Amino acid sequence: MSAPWKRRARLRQWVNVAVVVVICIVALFPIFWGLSTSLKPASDILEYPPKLIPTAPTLEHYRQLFSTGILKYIVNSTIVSTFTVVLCVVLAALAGYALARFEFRGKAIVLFLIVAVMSIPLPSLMVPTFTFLALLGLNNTLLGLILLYTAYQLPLAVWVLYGYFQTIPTEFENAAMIDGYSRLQALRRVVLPLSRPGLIAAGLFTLTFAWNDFVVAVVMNSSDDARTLPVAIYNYLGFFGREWGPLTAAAMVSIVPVILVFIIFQKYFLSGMTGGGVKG
Amino acid sequence: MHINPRSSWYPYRFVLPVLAIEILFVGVPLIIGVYYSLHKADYFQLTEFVGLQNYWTVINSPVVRESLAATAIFSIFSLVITFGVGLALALYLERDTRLHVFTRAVVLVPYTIAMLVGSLLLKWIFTKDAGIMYLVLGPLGVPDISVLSDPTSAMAALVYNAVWRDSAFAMILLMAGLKGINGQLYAAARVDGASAWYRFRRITLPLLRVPILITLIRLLIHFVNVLTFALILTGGGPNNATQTMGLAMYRMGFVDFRLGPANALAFLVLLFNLVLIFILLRLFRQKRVAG
Amino acid sequence: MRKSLVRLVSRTLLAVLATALPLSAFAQTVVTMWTFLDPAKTSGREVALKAMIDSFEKANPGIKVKVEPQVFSELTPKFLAANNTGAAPDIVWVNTDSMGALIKSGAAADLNELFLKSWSKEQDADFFVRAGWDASLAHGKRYAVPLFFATTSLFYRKDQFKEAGIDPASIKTWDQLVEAATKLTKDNDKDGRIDIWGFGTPLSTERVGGTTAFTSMLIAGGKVWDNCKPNYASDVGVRSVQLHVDMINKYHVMPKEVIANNVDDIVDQFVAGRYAIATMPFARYSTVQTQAKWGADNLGVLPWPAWSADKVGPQQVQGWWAAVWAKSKHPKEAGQFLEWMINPDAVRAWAITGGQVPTRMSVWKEPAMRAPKYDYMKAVVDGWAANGFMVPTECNTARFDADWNQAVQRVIVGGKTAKEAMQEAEKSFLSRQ
Repeated sequence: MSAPWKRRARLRQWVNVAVVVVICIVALFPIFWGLSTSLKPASDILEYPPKLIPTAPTLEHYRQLFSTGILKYIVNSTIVSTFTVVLCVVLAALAGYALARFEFRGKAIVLFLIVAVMSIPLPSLMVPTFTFLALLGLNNTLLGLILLYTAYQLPLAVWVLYGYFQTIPTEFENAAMIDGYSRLQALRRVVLPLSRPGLIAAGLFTLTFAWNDFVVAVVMNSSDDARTLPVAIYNYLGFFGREWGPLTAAAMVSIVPVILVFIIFQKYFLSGMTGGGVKG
Repeated sequence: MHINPRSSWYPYRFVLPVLAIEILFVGVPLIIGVYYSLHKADYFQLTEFVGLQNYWTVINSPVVRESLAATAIFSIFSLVITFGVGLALALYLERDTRLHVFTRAVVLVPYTIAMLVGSLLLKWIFTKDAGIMYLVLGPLGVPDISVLSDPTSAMAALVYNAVWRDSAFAMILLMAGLKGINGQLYAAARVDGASAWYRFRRITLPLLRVPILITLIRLLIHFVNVLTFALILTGGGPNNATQTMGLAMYRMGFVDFRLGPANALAFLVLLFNLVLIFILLRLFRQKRVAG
Repeated sequence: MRKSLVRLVSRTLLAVLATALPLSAFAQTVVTMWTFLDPAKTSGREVALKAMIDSFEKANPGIKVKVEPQVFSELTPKFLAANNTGAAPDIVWVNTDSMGALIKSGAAADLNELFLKSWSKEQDADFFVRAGWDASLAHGKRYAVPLFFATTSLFYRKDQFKEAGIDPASIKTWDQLVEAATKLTKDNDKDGRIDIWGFGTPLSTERVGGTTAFTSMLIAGGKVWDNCKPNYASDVGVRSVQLHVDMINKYHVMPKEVIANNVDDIVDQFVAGRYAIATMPFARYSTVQTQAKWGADNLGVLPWPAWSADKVGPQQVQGWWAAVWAKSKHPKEAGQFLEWMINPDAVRAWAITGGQVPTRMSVWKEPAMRAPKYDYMKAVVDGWAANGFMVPTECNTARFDADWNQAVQRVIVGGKTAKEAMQEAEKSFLSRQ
């Protein structure tokens, strides 16, 4: 009697693998095409009929990237993204916590403001922001970008964490506060560790935006020293033509760090309350 | 959740930094932008005050009306499908097996690649004369059609671009919500003999209410405002079929240099977004009363 | 009280810092320039620019030129925005589409005052593309000087022509072009999918860049614009739209997909060997040669056909100009560098190192330019000299060519007639003025 049961289990395994394969193909085919293109010599990129796998793979586009100074832009983007994520998640945790735990006058207004800010179309803010940043002397600086990105991503981060904190019972931090911890300490030591999936989600969205934004960066910064990676990528859509080779190579380079970060932080993206009963 | 703080100002200290940054870096430019919208502001030069004339021009513009239709179609389809795919993926990949963790990273790649590049690559694939789609799908019997030159299929391609990229967003958000649900609840329900569908409807969905709401609202705003997909994948065509409001606004301001009407349109889009959100919130509140 | 004191102190500190830094550099004047070229890179034009900067700085030890490369499509919007905040560069490059915006915004300085008034008549006349030279002229003031010109050309495959037995010199009218295109459209492997199309032109409304097929047709019938009032729904205009529609629907020499293709797509497809004739920016000539697998020698340039055999097809003048910011702190030095960038040595560098068609007739006439590798430029030079045409810079000409492409799309996909579509295009143009 165990044989059919085993067969069904194996069938389910195969179905799982098949589904994953389909997901991979759909999600990754365009990326794969970009990768393939980035490894083809310039004269092969546009050949017709197209070939999926390069017949004469080359690293010339990647070499070109690094010899024309893409490292500087990667560093700039890294600085901006890191500071933005840290600033944004910290501030959002504070605000989200207050919204989840306290009742106070103006709470509805704060929530409304958050949603309203998310609804503003970014391009429409660019020219006024440019003027305003110039007044503050923050044009052409990485700090300016950090502050802007934080401002644009805080609403979502606050809301995500607000929603997440609401699911965590207050018993834990109450117990900590009875034991003598201040509320902030309780937040840091008790609530945050339980909120890792929410923190990772908020951090990931902020990181992706800050790392990939082009619209804001191209307007606010003009000098080469303050240039970020996405602007450098966009430059390959030049006046004298579209250079697929360096363009796709730069795009491939830009994917790697974010995916790496996500893989590293995956181990925190686990069920917060697996395996244990509710304490106390 | 009512905890009386030590002083009535205490909660504000938590919220103040966020408010300060938003007011400074979003509020001030927004006000400046509205100020522009009340003037003739061609070539970024503020000239005469024209009151609500820019708003009138925008509302009466046939191009804007067309873009409203295109935006509506694009947003609704993208929202429904992206949410559906995201929820399915979140449920399917929730357990932390190695295969699932790998697949999550795979699904995330389209989201982490710059929108510009993703749309460029997809456009290349959809271009009939480049032959890539035919190379892959032809052997499966799919005919060689020109996706981008027909308004309906171009819109479908645009929606595909949105779903392809943003399902990961929905998946991550919903999965974070799923992971916050205490596993004990499911165990208890299973002991009581509840079916998988029952567990989903009575435990999962209610506890996912807030992440679902956040996902829907965020996705909707995103689709209404986004311009990159339309700009790169279809250029707004053919025949303006895919010119969304975000794209129309961008062109008005940054290509035609008519900053007055562009900002007026932006403000109207903002109001439009708020109305949509209000509607969504209303729907959710009703559900709670009924459930 | 204390808050205002703190503010006062911090503002003073900032002011001191702000003035201290430039004071320390007072020995050298720094002229900033926004362009899409990057002197640190290796293309011909960029090498030429770098050499120009080096030689200028050597000849003018007190002046340093600092280039800040920008994304080309954002050059003008950013400059206009920066004009308001006081942080614009001393020199900015503008292209055809933005010239009108530059003039109307008042952000450019009058170059007559800066250096042109001391030029002789011969120097002025040396710039033989008059339409391009005068493009920045408004109310007696001159706001920019041309660095290099561009145009849209008809590229064709010499090998395909030979195979089909067509003599390129025989194509003088649009009808003859269509006839040739019919012969050139082929399905070689008989699988029901066309392998090579006779004609291609970008008809998308985004990144249009290369569609002067229309200008050529419209100009033949008279004035396209009359004091910024468009005259598209004329006989010739309607015929132009109809020609594009027919090339797709009636003669089947052009794929319907071109309505979704922008200039980059058409170039890609031409390089891939999918078109026998295609319109594209002339500047892409050398890129196409290097990238094409069908042989660099097989690339040719056709002169633009006309509606009737006795007329010459007009050639549009596009390009890049350089202007000085009206509120620049170093207008004199900026003007000096501008003048340097268009002196005969510089024009020669743009031509020989940079591969551009020279803007000065004196340079074009030099023996170095008689080398066979510059033969392809001759068609363009002759075209400009004979019948050069530039869009009016006193109007807002943003997306004027996108309007025409939109008209074709309206007919093919939207079921309108060519006349209705062109009337709509007129309205679009007017709405931007």
